[in-house]
Amino acid sequence: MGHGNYSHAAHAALVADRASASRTEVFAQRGCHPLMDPRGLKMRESRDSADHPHSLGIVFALDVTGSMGDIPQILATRELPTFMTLLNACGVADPQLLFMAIGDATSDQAPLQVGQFESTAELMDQWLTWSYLESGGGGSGEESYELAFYMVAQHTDMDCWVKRRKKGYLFITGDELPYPSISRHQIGTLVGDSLDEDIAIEEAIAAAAETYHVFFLVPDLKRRRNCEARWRELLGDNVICMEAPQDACAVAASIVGLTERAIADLGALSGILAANAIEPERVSAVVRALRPYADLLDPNAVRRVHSGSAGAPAMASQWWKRLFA
Amino acid sequence: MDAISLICPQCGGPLPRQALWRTVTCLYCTADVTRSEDVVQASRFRAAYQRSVALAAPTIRCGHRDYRTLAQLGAGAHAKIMLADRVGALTERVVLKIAHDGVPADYLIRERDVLNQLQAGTAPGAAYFSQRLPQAVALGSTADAHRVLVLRHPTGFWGSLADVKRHYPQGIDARHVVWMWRRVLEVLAYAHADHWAHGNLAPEHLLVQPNDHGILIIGWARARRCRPSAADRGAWQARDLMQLAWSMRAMLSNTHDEPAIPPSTPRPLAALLTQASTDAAWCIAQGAEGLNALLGHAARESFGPARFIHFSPTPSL
Repeated sequence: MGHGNYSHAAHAALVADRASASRTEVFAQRGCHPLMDPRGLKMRESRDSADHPHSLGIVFALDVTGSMGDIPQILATRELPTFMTLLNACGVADPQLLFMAIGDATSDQAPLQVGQFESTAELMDQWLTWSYLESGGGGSGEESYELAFYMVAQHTDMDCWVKRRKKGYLFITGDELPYPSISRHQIGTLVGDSLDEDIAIEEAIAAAAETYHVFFLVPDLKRRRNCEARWRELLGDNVICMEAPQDACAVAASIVGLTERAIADLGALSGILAANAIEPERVSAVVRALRPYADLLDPNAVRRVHSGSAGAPAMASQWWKRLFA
Repeated sequence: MDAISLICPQCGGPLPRQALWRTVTCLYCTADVTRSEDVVQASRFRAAYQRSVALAAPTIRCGHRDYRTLAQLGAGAHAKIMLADRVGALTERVVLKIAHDGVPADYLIRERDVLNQLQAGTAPGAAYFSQRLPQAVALGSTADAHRVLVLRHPTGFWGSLADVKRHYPQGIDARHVVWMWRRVLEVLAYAHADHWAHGNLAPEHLLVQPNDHGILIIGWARARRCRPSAADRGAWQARDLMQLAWSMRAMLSNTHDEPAIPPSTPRPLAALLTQASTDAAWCIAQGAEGLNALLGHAARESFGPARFIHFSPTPSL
């Protein structure tokens, strides 16, 4: 998959048509779309073509449980064209997007839905809006995010990696914890694979991270407190705590730009976001959210920190002791 | 009864009974034997994990995590502070607080517990302000038996105000003191509303973020949580405000002894500093939020409307 050309004008028109539509009008599926049902799925392919000689696979795994339906809605009614425009501004010529929908495999009817890698606005939009927003979730504080890592590690094949050793991108949105392991029974039921043992989530992440840059996007600061610590154990600074869910597209595009070194630093990023009509307060919020990850990429970040190795231990001065001892 | 013989399809050697439900390796010809082409080997994922954690030589192990130190940030009376990256394909930049020999074992435990409680705070603004406080990531011991507290700090911080003071022995511009004071008061108002008192707001415990004019309060080991009804709650929190005022005086001053307010300091700001550093009853009455409001007024009187002025933590930067 991944043939055809992207047209921002066509995409913007598509999205504008439904700007005021309700969630149930935009996402009309009332069960898993047969073409997004992962049962029997062999491979999702992101391929180079004459139109897209430098394809880059990007997977959005969207949490579609009750608390997280706002991000798919925002993507479908407003922000996805912005994401594509920003990628273009960052010099990513041939992105190919695949949408996955993630729920809770212990309680939902459609806890895993998988689209195809696409390059055109119509097909990206089609897979996004074919997603069934089940709005379930089991109330246990966990969702089946681990399935996304399994699927990209086991069931995707990308020319960007195979031909150029360039990793793709996996963005998972969510506000809950993952289950600690991938159940072979769930994989058998949902996908049809005969997994010979359960897989610890750390192992699934490691396998996915060999071919993808993996990120977990937390929609706002309030919800970060539910899940940040565990996700940081798993993904480190690739956990991005946003300040508002509408920042998801700008954050994801900025991550691609920074990781691909198409954007030199956060100062340059601010300029690109502002030049693409992102509101100033949203630019600041995106930059704040990305600072830890950007520091990790910046080889000079450590040198900018004051090193106290040469000095004497910092001790309270005599006058301080006199006043406050 | 249909009998099943578990034999290797390549060499005919006997297979272990696990071949009934998972992939096994034949002991005789070393072929991997699977039940069907749909079988996915979990060992492939395990191998990826082993590769991911073997990327760089660790220098410090804490709990079940390995860290590679990047730089020493400083040292205090109780601990040495290091900047480090967690070893692995997906890394995290952290601060390691490594206790000196002889420091009581519960010192870092207490700091971790305080930080965890601060992160779990429910006072208004918790979602925002908990991000502006250090987070405790893990607590453990190094190979040479030193206790280590792994912390996550908001990024972009340069060094402490004590370090800044060393670079500016003549004192810094009073306009910078205004934003430093205000940033600490904002966080302190949140912590005080959650019934905490820091207890040691010396310049060594205030880290500066020059680019965004941020200040991070560290050194929470001596913090105390007062009962909401406790009679001495106001006194402890007023002590924080007085310590902070003295720290700000130290930033303005050009002396190394008890810092006097320089004559060049605008009168409204100097008056506020004097009162906040000497009048505990007044500090109790104002609280951090009230003091912040008064500081806003004093700053406007002294310097006009607020505007961003670049701050360099050293004269050469």
